[in-house]
This record gives sequence, C-alpha cells and structure tokens, in this order.
Amino acid sequence: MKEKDILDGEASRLEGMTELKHLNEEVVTSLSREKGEPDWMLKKRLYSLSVFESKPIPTWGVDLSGLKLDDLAYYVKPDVEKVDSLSDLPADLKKTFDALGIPEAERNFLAGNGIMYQSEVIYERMKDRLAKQGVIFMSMDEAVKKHPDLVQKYFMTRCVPPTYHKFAALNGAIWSGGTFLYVPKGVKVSMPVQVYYLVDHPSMGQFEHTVIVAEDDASVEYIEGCSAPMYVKGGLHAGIMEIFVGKRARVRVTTIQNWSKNIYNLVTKRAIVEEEGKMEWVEASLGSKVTMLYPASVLAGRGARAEHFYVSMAGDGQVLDTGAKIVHAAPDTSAYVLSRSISKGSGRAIYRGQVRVNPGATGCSSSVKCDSLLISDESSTATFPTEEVYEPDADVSHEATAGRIAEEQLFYLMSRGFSEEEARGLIVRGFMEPVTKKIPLEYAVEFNKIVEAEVKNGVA
Amino acid sequence: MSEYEAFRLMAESRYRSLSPLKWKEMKDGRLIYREELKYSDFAMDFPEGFEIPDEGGFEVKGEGGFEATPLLSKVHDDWVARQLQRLSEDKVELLSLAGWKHGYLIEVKSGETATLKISLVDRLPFRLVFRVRKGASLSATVVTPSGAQHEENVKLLASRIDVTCEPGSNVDIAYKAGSSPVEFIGFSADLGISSSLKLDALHVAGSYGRHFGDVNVGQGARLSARVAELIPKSSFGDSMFNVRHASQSESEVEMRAAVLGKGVIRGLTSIPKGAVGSNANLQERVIMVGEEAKAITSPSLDIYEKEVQARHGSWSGRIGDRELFYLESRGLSEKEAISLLIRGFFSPFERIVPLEEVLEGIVLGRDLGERSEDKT
Amino acid sequence: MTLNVEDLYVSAKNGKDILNGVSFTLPDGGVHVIMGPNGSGKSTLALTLAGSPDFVVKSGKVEFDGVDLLSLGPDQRAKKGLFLAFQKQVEIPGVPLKDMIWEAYRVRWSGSGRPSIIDFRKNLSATASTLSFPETFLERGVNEGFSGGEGKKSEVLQMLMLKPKLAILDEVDSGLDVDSLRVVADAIKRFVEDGHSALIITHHFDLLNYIEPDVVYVMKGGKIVDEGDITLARIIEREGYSRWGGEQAGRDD
Repeated sequence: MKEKDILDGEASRLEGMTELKHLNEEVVTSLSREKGEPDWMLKKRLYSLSVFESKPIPTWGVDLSGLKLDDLAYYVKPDVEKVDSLSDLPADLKKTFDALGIPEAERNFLAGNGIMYQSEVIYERMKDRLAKQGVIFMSMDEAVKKHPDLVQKYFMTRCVPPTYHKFAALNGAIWSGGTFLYVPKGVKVSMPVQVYYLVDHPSMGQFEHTVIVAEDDASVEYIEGCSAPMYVKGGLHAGIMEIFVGKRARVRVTTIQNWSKNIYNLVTKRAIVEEEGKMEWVEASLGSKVTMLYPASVLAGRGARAEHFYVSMAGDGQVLDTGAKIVHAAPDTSAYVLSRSISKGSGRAIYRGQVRVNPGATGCSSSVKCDSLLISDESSTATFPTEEVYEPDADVSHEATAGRIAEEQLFYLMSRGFSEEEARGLIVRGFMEPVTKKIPLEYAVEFNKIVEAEVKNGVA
Repeated sequence: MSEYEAFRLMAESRYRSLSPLKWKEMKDGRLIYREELKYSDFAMDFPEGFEIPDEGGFEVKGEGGFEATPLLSKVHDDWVARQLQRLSEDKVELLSLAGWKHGYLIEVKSGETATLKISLVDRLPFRLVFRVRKGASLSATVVTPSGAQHEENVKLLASRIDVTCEPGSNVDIAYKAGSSPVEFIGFSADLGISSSLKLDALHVAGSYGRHFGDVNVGQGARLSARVAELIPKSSFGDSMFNVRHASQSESEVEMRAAVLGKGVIRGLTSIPKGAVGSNANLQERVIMVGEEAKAITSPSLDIYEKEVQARHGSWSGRIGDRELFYLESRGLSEKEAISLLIRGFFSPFERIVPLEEVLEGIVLGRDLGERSEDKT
Repeated sequence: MTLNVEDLYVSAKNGKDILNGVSFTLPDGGVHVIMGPNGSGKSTLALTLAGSPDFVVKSGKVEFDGVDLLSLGPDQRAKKGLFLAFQKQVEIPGVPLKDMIWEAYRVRWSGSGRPSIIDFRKNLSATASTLSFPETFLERGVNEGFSGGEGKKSEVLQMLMLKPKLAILDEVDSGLDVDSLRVVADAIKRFVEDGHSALIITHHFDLLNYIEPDVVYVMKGGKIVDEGDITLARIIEREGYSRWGGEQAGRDD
C-alpha cells in the first residue's frame, strides 16, 4: 500500500481500503460484495454499523479522547501473495520476524499455524493434519464461504452480539481476517494451534474476528501473538474473540500482545462455558498505547470453570487496563484469576475486574488475586475490583498488593554478586513467573527478555 | 433571614441545581439507585413521602478540657463555615447540609484531654464538628437511638460528623448511627502531621441507608478504622470509605458487613504522587446471612507513588460451615450459632453500644427465620 | 584473603548508633568467631560488611584483600569473594533457587574452566544431599516457604556452591535441630579445609562443639571487647557476658 492510498480513502477503496470517516452503508455493502459474502453476513454488517453509529465511545475507564476514529484507515489487503512455506516469505517479512525475535523453533514447528499479515491470513500450514481430525481451521473470511451454517450459528450471536458495545459493533461492520477454529465432539487437539499475525501499515485499524468452538468433550489450545513496529499515527485494534466451550470441553487461549506504542488496543473477548467445561485465558500484554482488555467467562453450565492469567507491563506513556469478567450463571461454578502487573516510566497498569454470582447459582467460588509492582517514580497503578454477589451461598474473595521491589530482596541478590539491574530483572521475572509459566516456553523466554530489557531501561 | 436559613437555602439551591449526578432524581417521588451502580438487581425504590424532622435534642456529656458550642451560634466563624461546607457534589450529602438544625462544635484545647459521650435523644439530622487542637487527646462516642428499621412514617435523616485532628493530636472516635428508615451518615476527618485517629463506625441500615467516610491522612499520621455495616433483611445499605495518603502516613481500614438484605461495600485508598513511605491496608469482609442477601464489594487502590506498600483484600460469603458446625457441636441451635457469630463479627463495637440492643429483632428475630426453619 | 576492619562506626538509618569503633583483623583461612549478646551489634557488623543499605557507615575503614570494601556495592563485594549467610530469611518468589545459584556462580566465575550448567547442576544436587536439603526445594523460589532450618541450609548450600573467599555466617546455627547442626558444621569444616575463611557470628556455643575456632572475638555495646581462643567461648557458655560489664548499646538481633 502506498502512502497516497492511505491518505486518500476514496481512491483506495477499490483496493480494499478506506477511512472510518467514509464509513457508511454503501462502503460496508461493497466491502461485503468484494468478499463475496452471503446475504446474512451483509445484513449482520449493516446492523452492526447502525449499532456502531448509535453508541457513544465509552467514557468509563481509560481516557479515549486521543482516539481519532475518523482518521483511521481499515481493511488492507496483504502486500504479499499466498505462500506455501515459510521460506517463501518475502525477505522483509522474514526480517520483521527476526526483529520480533520469533524463535526459529516456533517458525519451523508451528502446528496448524496461520500467519496473519495485514488483515488476511496468507499462510496456513498443517491444516490437513487438523482436517483429518475433522477440525476446521481457516481464516474467518474463508469460513464464511465454506462453512456458512456453522459460522452463522456462532458469529456474533449469543456470545458477543453487535450490541455488546461500540467497538464490538464496529468490528461487526467492517471485520476482516481472524480465525475460525472448530473442534468437533470428543476431538482433542494435541498441539497448540498458533497464529502469529502482524499489522504493518500506518494508521491501520485491525478488526479481526475469531471464533473458537470446542464441542462437548473436545479440547484445544490456541495461541496468538501480535506485534507491530512503531508508527507515527495512532491506530486502533478492535478485534473480537468469541469462544464456545462445550460440556466437559477445554479451551485455552494464550495471547502475547506487543502492539506498537501508539495503538489503541480495545479488544473484546468472551467465552461461554457449558457444564463441567473449562476455559483458560492467558494474556501477556506489553505493547499498545492504551489497552482495554477484559476477557469474560460466562459460566453457563453446572460445574464450569474459568481460569484467567494476566501479566502486563505498562511502560512510558502506556495505560494497560486489564481485568477479568466472570459471570457465575450456574451452580457449582468456579473461577480463579491471577494478575501480575508492572508499571515503569510513566506507565499505568490497572486491574479492573468484575465477578458476578447470579441468583440461584449456589455453591460458586471465585478467587481473584492481583499484584502490582511499581518500578519507577512516575509510574502508577490501580485496582478496581467489583464483586456482585446475588446468591448468598457463595465464596468470593479478592486480594491485591501494590508496591515497589523490596529493598531486602535487592540487597540479598546483590550480596550474591548480581548487579542492581540484574537483581531487579530477576525479581521482576520471579514476580511474573506464576503467569509466564503458563505461556509456551519459546514465547515466555522471549517475553522475559523483553521485560528484563525494559526493566533495565526503566530504572536507568 | 437567619444564618441558618441562609445556609439552608444555599444548600437547597445547590441541591436542586445538581443534575442527576449519581442518584437518579426523584421521579414520581421516587429516587432510584440504578443510575450510579448500574446493577439491575440493586435497583431499589426510594421510600416515598419522607419528612425531615427538626424537633428534639442532644445530650453531650463528658469531662476534660473541651468546649461544646451549639453550631448555629458559630456559623459566622470562618473556620466553622468552611467545615460546614465540606461536602462533595453529591446530592445526598447536600441533603445533610440542607436538613440539619441541630449540631455542636466541639473543641478540645491544645494539650488537653477530653472524654465525651454524645447521645441523640431523638431521631434527628445532626452535624457534629470536632476540632482537636495541637497535641490534644479526645475520646468520644456518638450514639443515635436504636429501634425499628422499617416504619410506616418515613423520616429522612442525613447527618455528618467532621473531625479535624491538628498536628500531634490523638483522637479516638466511635459512633453508631442508623436504624432509622432512611438515614445517611457522613464522616470526614483531616489528620494533621503526626496525628492519629482511631475510628470505630457502626451503621445499621434502615429501609435505605448510606454510610460515607472520607479521610485525609496527613504526613506521618496514622488512621486505624473499623467501619461496619449491619444490613437487616429487606434493607438496603451502602457503605463507602475513602482514604487519601500523605507521605509517611499509615492507614489500616477494615470494612465489615453482615448482610441479610442488600449491601454495597466500597472502599478506596488513594496514594498520590509524593506520598512516599505510606503504608495502606484496606480489607473488606462481608458475611451473607439468609436467602435474600445480596452484596457488592469493591475494594479499590489507586497508587501514583512507588515508595509505598499497599494491600487490599475482600471476602464475601456465607458464615463458614466449620464455625457453624463447631458451635452446633457445642449444643447451640443453628440460629443461636449464627447470631453468636454475627456478634463476634461486631464485637469491636460493643464498647459503643450494647450489641443486644443493635442485634435484637434483626438477627435473632424474623430475619433469620427462614433459613433456620429450612434446616430444622 | 585478609579482612581488616579499623575503627568502624555505624549507625542505623534512623540515626541510632550501633557500632562504636569496631576493629579486628582476619588472616587468610581458618574459622573466626564473633560472639556477643543480643543487641551487641553482631548482625549490623555482618550486614555492613556485605553492604546493606539499611546502615550508614559514619567512619572507619574496611579492607578486603587490600581493597577498600566500603567503596564497593554489595554485588562487587560478592564478586570479590565475600559472602553473607543471612540471619533473616529473604524470600524471592518465582526465582528458582537453583537458577539463582547458577546465575550467581556464572557472574562470579566467568571464562574458561567454568563447569557446564549440567555439571554444575549435578554438583548442586550432590551438595544439597550432603546437607540433607531436599532436592525439590531447589526448584522453589529462593527461600520461598522455607522453614527456619531449611532457610539456613539454603544459605550454607549457596556458600558451598559459590565458593567465596570469606563467608560470614550470621547465626547460621539458630533454629537448627541437632542433626542439622552437625550437617551444617561439617559443611563449614569442609569449606574451611578447602582453604576458605569463615566468620561465624553466634550467641550460642552449640556450633562450636563441632568446629574449633581459630580466634574468638567478644562483641558488646557495638565494640570488640575481647579476643581469645575456644576457652573464651567456654567461659561465655558458663557465665554469659556479664564479665564485660552490664551496659549495652546497639539494637539488632
């Protein structure tokens, strides 16, 4: 995409790109037509558009006044053609991979991975293997055409309807890309399904839409990481992830988020968990200017369980506002939330969570733990938990701590020969460990490296 | 026009000028809580047709170096006027400014020690302003009448206690408020350098009760607060306690609630930039009793300074089976065991007011009926 | 290794004086003991030598192998070969003990001749077992959830692995049962026999039943008030510290 196209939304529309200020029914309709979508999807888009236009930008929580929706461009077709193997990737993309430190092992050993480059999945591998198990794994765009019935059943229906909030509606109107992952009854996918996607275009909002369905007794782990280089203009990422966890099914979603520091990362993630099912969210947040991320688990069937693990590091100028939303809608459901955050520079890490126990949901228990570490003078943190208990037969607890690195820990490690920087790095790593151990090793190593480097910078 | 009328007019006009900010304004004579909290299950109708009583009296007894002056005679005093206007832009708080007629300014002279007991003889909206001068010590209890929580004749009581602890002073305040059908009690304190405040606050929600605390903990000062809320069946209670820290200050806040009706327990501890060396601990503990109990808890921390230690925690749930079983195995009925456990929960407040008086008819009576009948 | 402490005055951060002119010299090798009642300033001395930020050196000199120790940060002191076994257990959750020891070893001993991580781990396991230190504890965070005795063993294990020139063992004997005491004493003996120095700080005699010290110093009121051999320790065991006067300064332990 050339600079001119970005500035001139009208001109570039035919190439699949426009700006939000030009967003209207006509634009959405032609987008849908270009993609060759069935009518019901077009209707969904148009309905979403009307919701988007009617809803105000949320004013609770983080200040979003810096977000200039009108100036954002969206829908970019990939610059590269579909490739068959990783070695066929363009040199500059490979360079980006190197810069991002994607481990070699990752690149060569990706189970059913797709690499999302500029809004469209361009590279998918080992799909056949998954297909043999009856697993559907493809880009959402493709799924709309190939499995319309399935998609229609799950896409923005009872998990994240267009009316959920403004940015969900925006996604519904102009979504592009994302993954459709369907695991049939009783199928256990042994290797994690991974997607590494990148946004690499100035001022581009990315509106990918992912749906994961694990039927009864199925299990699957899905990993995505995203990263973007530094831009001049502010961008928006407003993705949606809808997850359906069937009876006794298990789903784990791991996201390593490292958007460039000028992106508004306003994502919607929600899971509906049926009887005895288990949902695990692992969220590692490093990047973005503002992140508002509150993965929700609706525990809809008896005995359902959710576990949320978050680690985030808010650096200079960043506001990372994360939290878990747990709805105990059925008896004997349980949830565990663990959040560890670090604020450095002028960064601000916030935990904003909600636990709700519905009337009649007896025998539920919820436990939330969040700890915050402040490592620079300008940094700040906050914890805003809310527990709504409408059923007296519940056990709901919340615990949190905040403070700096203990001097005695620093001194102890220094007396063992570590420099102050090294000691800080070690302590921070240890602080995050309960969450990072949930992340696949190669990512965790990388993540720790980034954090340690950042901690060193932050202190100096 | 008297000073009092002027105050009241000013407050009323401010009250009326406020758009529905946090509280939905009277609609057909009803105030609905929905606006602020957005918790649909908590929408609760504000009782209709209330009146603000203004007849009745106070009893201030005590010893030591203090001086109690009726507040109305002091409204010309700049300092007092400032205290009287210490209100947030909150409609309910403004009601308290509009509604009071009875109040005292209580001043403890520098270096002196005083012990006080203040009793409300009648149910009245009141204001108490404490000024504890440098190095002075005060120990005071304030008690409002106990009684039924739900009455036919709805009265609105909105009262405030404001405390100024000057540097080096030592203050211990305990109050029990509430029990009236619609009652709001506000508490504020400013802690000067190296002063200390120990607070035991007990609020019993009537049909509709609100308890609000706001404390500035000054440099090197120490706050130790226990804030308890008893919410009987068919009652709504909202308890909120905010603390702001200055450098080297300490706060230990424990909010407790026994909820048989609907309860909201919110604490917020803020540590602004520069409040180095502050140490904060905010704990919320809510026990839910009976089948109707509903509770919202929200212990929040907001920290802009790294040289601090802050903790918070909350727990809400039913009375532990283990404790119940233990007591039952000692021969108590479930009802007796529960009431004993609730008593234990509120035992720190025994020093203010006999707990039987507070708990009687609430816990032992009808409110527990259902649950224990179910089991026995 | 030589350690030369000269007229050391130290106060706590709050300004309270704790050490009031401590002087002594440790020659290379051997076991040295500092005994003293609670509050005599023993732990302050140990922490000051290791460079704790909790104390302020007001005056005096400390030379370690001819280097001005006081001008160095705690990490540089460690790299020069000084080790402190902490009296008060410091927990660092999430940093596995075995990783911390390896990393500390790696930063101190760079260059060729250093064993591989695999050999080091083997050695670590073997050393841990000589201390009856459960191997699973190596996987835990540093001292995380350790009992008093386990914490002491963790400190001694680090000493054995990091091979410092001088190990200052601050009340390493307290909270140990008889068996553990013997194991720890044996470890210290081995350490010294390998040519390292140990400075044992204690107010019990128990450990000295197993290790014969070369020199015993008595500390009281923030000063070294006497010096002798094992007989001095025996006198203390019998009579306490009353012969050096009733007054005390300092505040630690």
